[in-house]
Parts: sequence; structure tokens; C-alpha cells
Amino acid sequence: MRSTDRPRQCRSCIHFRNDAEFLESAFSGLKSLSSAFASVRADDGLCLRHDRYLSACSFCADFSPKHFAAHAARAGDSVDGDCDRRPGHSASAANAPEMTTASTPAPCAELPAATSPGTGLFAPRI
Amino acid sequence: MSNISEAQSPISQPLRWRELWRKEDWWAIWLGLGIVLIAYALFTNGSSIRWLAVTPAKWSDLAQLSAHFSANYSRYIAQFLVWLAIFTVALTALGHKAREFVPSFVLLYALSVAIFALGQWDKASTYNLEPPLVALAVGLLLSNLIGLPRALDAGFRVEFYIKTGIVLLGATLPFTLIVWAGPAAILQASIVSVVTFLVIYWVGVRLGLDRRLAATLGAGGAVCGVSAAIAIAGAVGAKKQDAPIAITTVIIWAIAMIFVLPFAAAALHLPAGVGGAWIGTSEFADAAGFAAAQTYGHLADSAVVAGTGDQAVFAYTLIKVVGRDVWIGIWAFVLAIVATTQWERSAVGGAPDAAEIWWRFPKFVIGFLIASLIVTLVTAGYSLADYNKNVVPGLVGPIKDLRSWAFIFCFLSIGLTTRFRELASAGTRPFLAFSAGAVVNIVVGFVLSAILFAAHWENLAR
Repeated sequence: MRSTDRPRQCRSCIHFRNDAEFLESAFSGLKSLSSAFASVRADDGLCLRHDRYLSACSFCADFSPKHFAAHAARAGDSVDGDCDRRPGHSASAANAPEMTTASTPAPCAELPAATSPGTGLFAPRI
Repeated sequence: MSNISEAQSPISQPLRWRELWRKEDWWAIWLGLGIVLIAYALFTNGSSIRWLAVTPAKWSDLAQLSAHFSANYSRYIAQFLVWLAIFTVALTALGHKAREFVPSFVLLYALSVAIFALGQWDKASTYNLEPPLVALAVGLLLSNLIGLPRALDAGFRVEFYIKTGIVLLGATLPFTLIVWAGPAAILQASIVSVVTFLVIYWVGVRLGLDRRLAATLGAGGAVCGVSAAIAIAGAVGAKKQDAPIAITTVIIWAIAMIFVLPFAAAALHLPAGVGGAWIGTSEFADAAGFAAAQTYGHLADSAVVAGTGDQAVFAYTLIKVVGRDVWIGIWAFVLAIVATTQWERSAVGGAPDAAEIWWRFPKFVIGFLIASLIVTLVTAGYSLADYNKNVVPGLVGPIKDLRSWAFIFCFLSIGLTTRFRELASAGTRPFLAFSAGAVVNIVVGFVLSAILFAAHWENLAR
């Protein structure tokens, strides 16, 4: 996959929330017999735009970077996830500046066609 | 959910190594193994953690009970302070507020002492006052009829306590037993898990449920309850409302089964190991299942059913933890593939990743196995007589008592955090789909535990 085809992951999107306390308050009963701090949840969270519960490695055409992504990138943190280290993804460092320059949502046209609504899934990599 | 604000959302960094101190599973390992290693260090130096692992003694009148507490109050205070300190460190690292946790844990510990003491009454079994059931009932009454301040929830960490207890349980379960009984547990659990999932999924789709909801419900019934439902919901990209529907359905069934399964097994005169295996096969969530298995163990220790309490808890643990829980990552990975290749496409997606199997692995199981391995290795040189004379009272017994405390904290917390009026409405069709799978699960679980593998479970740890 070319670097320009790299999807923006939900974990860096303003519409995505996956902090454990938030999820426990959003999902009544979650902490009765489980926990948002459990390993099995990994780093899944809620997409508030599409009303979906998703892996933080998901992506779509409506990606909109969090405003303080730039700060994280300057501090040397990756704003992409482990998913970027999968075969076929390039290192996240190259992507970080590109993401942080935009304080407004990235134009959908910049995203690969495969991520457009209605056709948004990449083939599985096993 | 109306108050959800995107602006509040912090940026989410991948956990990687930070998982070691940002997930409950790892903290359960650190605390559980820390206790085991300290207990072993004291044991090898001729001392013991026994003084700290105080529990209420058997009593028949209040004078005896009063005398016990008068003689041991300093031990209870010390134990309380140790629990408070280690849990505060762990939960603070996880992001909780110590000032909210401390008053909450004071209440939790005080109630736990009372319930533990009640369970030691010599007529407790006569009136079915099994500590797990009493803890659950008291918690449910307090949270649903009286109501507690929301801030107190900080100390009611069901999963954290049960995982810590499971790691401690590993130290009391010989590793050789896991190796010997593990394959049968995995085989039995796998059969039931697959059958239950397929029934719930098939009925759900037939009833017109979205495939992602059907899969979320199916995993909740087949693998490890709410935890599995949440894991699968994320893996398949379920709708926002799917996870709460599954949570509600699992909670209602799981809590009902805590009360039903032990007494059904007793009515059928199942030996402790067989009853524990059935509960492990047919309960949905780890914490709820331990409440049921521990109850059945108490019935065995009270001679209501044949066998020992340990047999019930060991059989349950092997089936549920070793046989079912550890496969959640594989379920998530496979269903993620199915969702992205076979089901309807959505605007949001992601590529299934084999690494998910590790990230979703319930890490506390690692602590459980390590604890078992440690104690098995360090006690391998003892004869049976020396083991019973020295190792049990000096090492294994105190760890088992601390495990009992962790479990009571958990059982109380289940009740204290379950507010029925706040649960999402599950809807008739999801409930019917889940119930169909639950009924099949109970029947198949009984056939496997009490007929096909009966001899195996009856002789477990004998």
C-alpha cells in the first residue's frame, strides 16, 4: 500500500472515544460483570459520527484529526496505532506530520476510494 | 449518551507496553503474583503470611463470634490496610481517583467481613446463607432498593477483584492437575461454545437481527459473557446500541443462573466436580460463574453434596478460564474476518489483524498459570504428609483465604454495580435468541459434564 493510501485510524479521530471511564458510563452495566479496563477490550471505542463500536484501528472517509494531534506528534508519539506496523502499512512517523497539519477534517478526496462510505473495507490481512 | 462530547475526547495512543500498567489484567497479575511470592519468601524463612490472611472462624453463637473478633481485630485492621494500599496503587495507576476509592473500599470491606462471618455460622447452609449468594443479594438490595452514591462505584471493581482472585487461585491448583484435566476441559468447553454461538447466531438472524448484533450476543453466551460481547462488538464493528443490548441480556441470565445452577446441581445430586464443570460450561461471565461454583463448593464442604469445595471450584476454573476464556482473541479475529468479507459493508471498517488474538487475550490467565507453576515447583519435593502438615497451613492455606476475600469483594461488587433500572432495554428478539442458546448450552453442558465426562470431573483432585 502506498503511503498516500494509508487510512487515518479512528484512534486519532475527533469522533472516536475509547477512554475506559467514558465507555463504562456510556454502556450501562458494563462494569457489573466486566470492565472497560480489561485486556479483551483492547482499545476499542465508540465512533460518535457513525454510532458504531469499533477497533481503534478502523478508519473511514469521515476522519477528522483531533486538534492536539500536533502536540503528540511533536512530542515524538505516534498518532497512528499498532495497525500501522502490520505488513502493508508503513511506519507512522511519515504519516504524523501529514495528519497534524490539518486542523480541519481531511478532504475525503485525499483518501483512497476504497474507504468511501459504502465500500469502506479493506481486504483482510492474515 | 446524550452528553457525549467529542471535544472531551483525549487522543488515544496505542497501548503496547503501557498495557502492563494500564489494564486490570496485568495489575491482577502483579498483585496476585506479588502475594504468592511474598508468601513463599516468608514460608521458606520459617514464617508465614498466615497472620495477615485472617478469616472469621466457624461459630455457633454470637459469643464465639465476638470472641474471635476481639482476639483478632488487629489482624483484620492490618489486612484491610494491606488490601487498601495495594488496590489503591493499582486503581490509581489505571486512572481512578484514590479519594473516591478509599471510602468505597471501607464500605466494601466492612460488608465483606459481615458476610464472611455469616457464612461461617454453623447453620448457614441450613438456611442457604452461602456467602456468594448473600453477598450478591445484599449488593443488589443496596443498589436497587436503597441506592448508593455514584461516587462509591469507584471501589466496586468486579473484574479486578475476580482476576486477582483467579491468580491467587492458581497458587492453590497444582499445575499437574491443569495439564491432566486441561485437554478434557478445552474439548468440552469448545463443543459447548461453538454450539451455543451457532444457536444464538442462527436464531438471532432468523428473528431478523443484524448479523453483528447476533454475533455479539452469540459470543456473550458462548465465551465469557459481557467481556466477550464487548470484544466481539468491537471486532465486528457493531452498532452503538448492540453492546448494551448484549450486556443487559447477559447480566439477566448470568445473575439468574448464579441462583439456579448450584441448587439445580444439588437437586440432581451431582458430585462437586461434576457440578463445577456444569457451572463452568453453562454460566456466562467469570465472576457470576465463580459465585455459583463457590456456592456449590460450600454445599460440598457442608456435606450437602458429595465431594469437596475445591473440586467444584477447580472444575469450574478449568472449564471456564482454561477452556473458554482464552479463546476470545481467536473468536474476535475469525469474526472480524467474517464481518469484513461476508457481511454487509459499512462506511467504517478496518482490516482484521492476527495480532488481535494477543491484544485481546485475557492476560490474567498468564498469572493464573504462573502462580500454579511456582507453587507446584517449590512444593514438588515434599511428601504428601509433609505437604499437608507444613505447606498447606503455612503457604497454600493462607493464599486460599486471601483468594476468598478477593472473591467476596467481587460478589458484593456485582450486586452493588447492577442497577436493573439503568440497564438498556434488550428487546424481545435479542432476548429470545440469547435464551435459545442459553437453554441449549445448559442441556449440552449437563450432558457433557454429568454423563460423557462425569467420571473425569468426579475424580478431579481426589
